[in-house]
Amino acid sequence: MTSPISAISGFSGISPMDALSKVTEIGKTAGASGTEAAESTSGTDFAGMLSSGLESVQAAQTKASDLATQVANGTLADPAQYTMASTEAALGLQLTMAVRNKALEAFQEIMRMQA
Amino acid sequence: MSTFNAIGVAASGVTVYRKWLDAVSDNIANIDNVTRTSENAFQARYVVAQEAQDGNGAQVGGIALGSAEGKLTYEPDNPLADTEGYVRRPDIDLGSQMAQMIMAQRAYQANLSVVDRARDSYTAAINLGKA
Repeated sequence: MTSPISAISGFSGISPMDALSKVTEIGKTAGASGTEAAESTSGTDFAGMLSSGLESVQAAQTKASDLATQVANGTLADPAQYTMASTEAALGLQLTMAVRNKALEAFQEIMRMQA
Repeated sequence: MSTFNAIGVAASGVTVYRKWLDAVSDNIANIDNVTRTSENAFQARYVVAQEAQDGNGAQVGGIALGSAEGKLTYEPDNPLADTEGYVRRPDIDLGSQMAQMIMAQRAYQANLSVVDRARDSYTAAINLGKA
């Protein structure tokens, strides 16, 4: 259950994300406003937000798989606990994929740009 | 997890009502227990529900116990009866327990419906712009 997420987590390190954050930086310098400079020093860049989001998805998956183990053990008090945790984990994964697809789409759109 | 908060909040409600159902089933299971007058009667369990911190739903604060005296009933034929013919029975009303069971069951289902609706809403939000 954990392997799809760990495969995706490698994604934040590869170049499309770096390329995207570079583009954002260019946009900021073009804007040339004091508030934007303050924003960039706060440290909440896109890659950071993405990796913390992936961590919370990973945590939801771990919780769901722990509860699945409890089902197998026969120690689960309430079946709804498992179904709710797995719903939450599935939603988290769907959101991750949506963000990934949108980012990739944007990157490909930029790559198609003509000089 | 704060991203899908509605599901976590509803889950806390589900847990509270599941514990209430557990308490009611315990009370009904023990409703006919007979004890000697020198001992305590079975004490009914009542779940104390309270608000969780920072708007994170509900939680069980503790379990309150019913009367230990119970009801003294005259049953001279009962082997547990004292010299005057009395035994102790728990002071639990079956009608009240059945009503509580219906309330707990319906509220449990209502919280699960919240989870379902929240999931539908979140899915719609995630799929925004896909079509």
